[in-house]
Amino acid sequence: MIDIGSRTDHLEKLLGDPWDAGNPAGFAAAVAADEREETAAAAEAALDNFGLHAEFVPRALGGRLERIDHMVELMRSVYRRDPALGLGRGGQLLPTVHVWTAGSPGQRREAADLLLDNRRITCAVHELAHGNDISASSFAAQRADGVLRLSGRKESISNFDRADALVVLARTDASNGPRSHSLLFFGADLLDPARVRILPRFRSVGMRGLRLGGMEAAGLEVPDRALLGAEGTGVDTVVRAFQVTRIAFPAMSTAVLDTALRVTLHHTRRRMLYGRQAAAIPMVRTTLAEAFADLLVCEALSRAATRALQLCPQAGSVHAPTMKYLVAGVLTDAVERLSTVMGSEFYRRDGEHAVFQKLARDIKPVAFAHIARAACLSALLPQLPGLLGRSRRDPAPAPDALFAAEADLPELDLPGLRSVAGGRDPLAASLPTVLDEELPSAVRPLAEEHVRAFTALTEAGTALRPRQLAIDAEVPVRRLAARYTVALAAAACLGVHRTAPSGDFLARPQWLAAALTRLSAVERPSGAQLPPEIEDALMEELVDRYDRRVSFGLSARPYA
Amino acid sequence: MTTFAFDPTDPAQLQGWLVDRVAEYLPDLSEPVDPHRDLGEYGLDSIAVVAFAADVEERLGTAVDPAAIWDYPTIARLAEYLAAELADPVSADERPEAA
Ligand SMILES: Cc1cc2nc3c(=O)[nH]c(=O)nc-3n(C[C@H](O)[C@H](O)[C@H](O)COP(=O)(O)OP(=O)(O)OC[C@H]3O[C@@H](n4cnc5c(N)ncnc54)[C@H](O)[C@@H]3O)c2cc1C
Repeated sequence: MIDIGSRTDHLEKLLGDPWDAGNPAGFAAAVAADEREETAAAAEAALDNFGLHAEFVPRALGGRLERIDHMVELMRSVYRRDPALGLGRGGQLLPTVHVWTAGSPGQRREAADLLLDNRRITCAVHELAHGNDISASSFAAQRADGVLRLSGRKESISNFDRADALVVLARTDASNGPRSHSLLFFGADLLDPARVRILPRFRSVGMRGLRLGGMEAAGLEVPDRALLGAEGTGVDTVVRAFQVTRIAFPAMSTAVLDTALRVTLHHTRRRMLYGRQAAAIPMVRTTLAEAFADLLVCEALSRAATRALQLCPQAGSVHAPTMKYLVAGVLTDAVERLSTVMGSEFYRRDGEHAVFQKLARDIKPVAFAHIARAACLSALLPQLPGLLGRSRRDPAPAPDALFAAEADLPELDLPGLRSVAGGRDPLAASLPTVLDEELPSAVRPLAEEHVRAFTALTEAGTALRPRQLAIDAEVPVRRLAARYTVALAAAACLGVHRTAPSGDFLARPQWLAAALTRLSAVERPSGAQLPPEIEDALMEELVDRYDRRVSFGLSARPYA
Repeated sequence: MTTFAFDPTDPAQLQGWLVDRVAEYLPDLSEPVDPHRDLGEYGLDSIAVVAFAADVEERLGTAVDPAAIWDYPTIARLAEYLAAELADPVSADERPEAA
């Protein structure tokens, strides 16, 4: 198989320079298509030409999916040009993670063949009536002599009207409980127009190029063999398989901040105000440096979480809500702050920075679609006392392979994902040990502060009574879960710094000091400012990367 | 790994321990949990099941899926299942092949 570096380079080349106004897959084309509620046809064609969907098919089934971290890095090349294009294509993971997790060999073959042929599968879980409360879903599948009879509504579903097959979550038992739902997988040719109405398109503020659809079924019949996994295991499979996508989508979305930052630099370095570059105004400069640090934080946690899916898969139930809560929050805040220094240029739908207003709209769903950030705290909370207790009892440095630029990983084992971690989270367990290492003097006090905060969190969290962890948990208790996500991100940044080759920017103390400072500001909005020398170092690196056209994230890889 | 004041591979001893543990997760409990009564009847909701499973897994050091608590919905049946798991953890590990 062609290595990931060559694949990303090749994809960058196919999609071309996004700034080139004449590039039919560039920013101008993405903005023009967005006005029509479409994606750029040339970009879609380039992705088909690349065979992008093979990136979501496990290697054993003839695809190129071997490592989640690599798949994410490749998808950043799509997201950085047009997030709607990214979600439209990356959204193929939503149905397929269920097939790879629970499907029979025949179902796996069928799904793989569709994707390898550039075709689409849609994933219908959501119902407007129930939102995040998926175990309340009412779309029903009733058994009747060898068939399943479907009725109910599925709404706001990506690419519903363009799919060749569907994965659907349906209620197969009227009682309430985790065994009441089942997953189904069947071809779109079974959507008998007499028994199912395809709903008109749902219109959205952002991600406007993504077609959101749905269906209303009334007695639609599908064969028994459409069941994906055993009857009654639907919610269990969803909870496990969606760990992958709840980690992967926020991780891909860091590329949206990369472009937002690049556009802001482009504008503020050219913009002359009061006789100097706008980028030199202290407030603007600080915002740029902070956004760069935020991007590195998000990518550090993303790297650790995507790698952990293969290295310590039991932690997926913890890292998925952590990613979706923290990374989604940091990314949306950072883009918002950049919009303030873009000035009125942020509000324009034309001109060379018009892509910014699109990104500012497209980034929002990362915080509420798929699962709400608030629901992630609810998901984390029941595990919190066990996780904190275990990290105190069995502290251990985290494996280098979670953080290092290059690392071998065990094979991806989606059926092996679990719905609880049993207290085992390598990032949390590493925090009590991080001060044992040598740390640069600029970093040590900041690391000490995070370790102190984690110790305090451990005391508060292990003292929680089981009944305080329920869905009606008080706000201060929910904040403990939020603080846990900050601690994991700090551990990831420390790990990336520790394993970076000497001489690399990531081995230098400045970015880590900035990252830890930014992270302490997450829970305290009036948190510390970056010291001037740290801000200088970040700006120097940022401008250098901008001029050399390399990515702003951990990999600093060439961009077309 | 935790050491116990009881033998967790003995269903009767494990049952006694689980009766005390689960009580922590049940709202408005006025009497000891009946090991033969469905936990759902005590108002154990899905989030509490996750917390209870995570807690038991962490303390026993064996994998406990929230789904298992649904499949063995009384403390007596759960104790029997977990005691067997603890005595022979490998046999329970029948997963489909890797993706
Ligand atoms: C661009 C886009 C693409 C989509 N694609 C698909 C798709 O392909 N397939 C699909 O099935 N669905 C899809 N969806 C639907 C998406 O999954 C839902 O929007 C999502 O589940 C959230 O549901 P809701 O917006 O109705 O939120 P609600 O559940 O109504 O939540 C509203 C608010 O209530 C609070 N809340 C909810 N639950 C909790 C909790 N447990 N704890 C604390 N607070 C809580 C939160 O503040 C939350 O933001 C898509 C949506 C978008 C925007």
